[in-house]
Amino acid sequence: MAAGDANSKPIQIAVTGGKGGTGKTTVALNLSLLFSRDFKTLILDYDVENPNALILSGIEQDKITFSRKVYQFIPVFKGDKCVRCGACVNACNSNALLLPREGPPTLFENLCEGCRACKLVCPTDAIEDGRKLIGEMHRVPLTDSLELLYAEIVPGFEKSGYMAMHLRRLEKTVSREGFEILVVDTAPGAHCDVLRALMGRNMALLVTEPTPFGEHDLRLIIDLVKLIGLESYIVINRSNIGDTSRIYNIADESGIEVIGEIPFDEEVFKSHVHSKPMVLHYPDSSFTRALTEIYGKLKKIIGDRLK
Amino acid sequence: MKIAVPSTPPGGLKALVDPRVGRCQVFTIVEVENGKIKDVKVVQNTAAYAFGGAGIQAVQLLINHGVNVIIGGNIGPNAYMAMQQAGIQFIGGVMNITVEEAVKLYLEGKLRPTGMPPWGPGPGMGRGMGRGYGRWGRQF
Ligand code: SF4
Ligand code: SF4
Repeated sequence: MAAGDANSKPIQIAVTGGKGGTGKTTVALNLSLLFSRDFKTLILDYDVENPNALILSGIEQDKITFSRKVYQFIPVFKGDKCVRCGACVNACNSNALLLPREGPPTLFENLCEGCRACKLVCPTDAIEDGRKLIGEMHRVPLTDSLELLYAEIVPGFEKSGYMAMHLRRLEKTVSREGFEILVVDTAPGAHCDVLRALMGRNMALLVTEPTPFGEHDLRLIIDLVKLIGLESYIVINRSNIGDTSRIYNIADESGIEVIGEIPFDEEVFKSHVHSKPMVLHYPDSSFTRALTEIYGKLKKIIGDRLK
Repeated sequence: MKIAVPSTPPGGLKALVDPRVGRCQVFTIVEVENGKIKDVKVVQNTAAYAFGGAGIQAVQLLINHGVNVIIGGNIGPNAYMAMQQAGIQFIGGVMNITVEEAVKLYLEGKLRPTGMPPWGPGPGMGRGMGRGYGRWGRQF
């Protein structure tokens, strides 16, 4: 297989699911472990507000091999140079600056987007580069052929998209190291962060469950993948807790195939509590059997493209 | 002394107090001298349709107009901090009365300045800051 060549691109599979709690990350992690038996695999956790793939993997933080802190520009005002012209305040689209009655402008750090417009327009060079920490990115080997890349924003930082953008850049560099498969775990929901994590992927797995919430969110996420024309497959998780026929109706309506069902399995709960991934520690569970079947189908679908 | 009151359009003494300081359409700015209303001016709130930080932009507008006191309903944490920075006194929890009545109540000493807002110590202190609105009980 030529996919490992430095100049061939890995196949990128996104795992998404609309709302949180559908088991998206569990599926993404275990699927990555299955992929890693046949391919050099990279799993990416794009849920930068709540990254938990590492926790579910049971790998300790001290196994992290690479970390990079991510900063954002913030303006620092030099009071002696500032002539209080107000140009920076007018230039700031985020309204993060206030010119009080005296002294240089005041920054409202939580509103600052780091666009540097203020610095560009200042006529007296009264603005110097400051930075604030917004988060950190990490790289961790999970097995010999599986690595995890994830990021974590500092609590209180609201612009998760900014962090995700940095993670995507790092992803581009790292994925050139001969990775054949990328498994991308998106944030929950169907908002723009999720959309960005889905852009440019080869296919998406839409993990849902047979509940009214699951159906509702599945519809939203289907709209999203249709919008960007992304080839997608539905995975019905906890398929025995409700009426799957409604999910199949949605699948028919939208023309998106259900690639497999994963029954509710009490061992998944144990797997979470003890941070022991299903496919490694519960090989005979109904979860592992169902996921292995899905993996087989996926391998077939992407088989041709890896040639 | 200049008092700014967020008002329903078209503004003026007979307009109602608009509880939203950052997003109101107009401000009525009332100039007071020796306890008497000397001048009334209406200014458009250019911040009303800002994507974010409307409160700060509105406070900037009022600083530029030399305002000392703002009487209104609710403000967000960023706007509150901005007023503190600018040395503007904020009187919250005022609504459903006219601008004139609000200014009179203030001049009669019947309105209390608003203390520390209910959403905590300041912007950037935690998730959700800048989204919530402080709510004070009605003052009269
Ligand atoms: S960097 Fe951009 S968002 Fe931040 S204060 Fe300057 S102009 Fe405003
Ligand atoms: S643009 Fe420069 S000089 Fe003008 S107010 Fe801002 S910091 Fe001061």
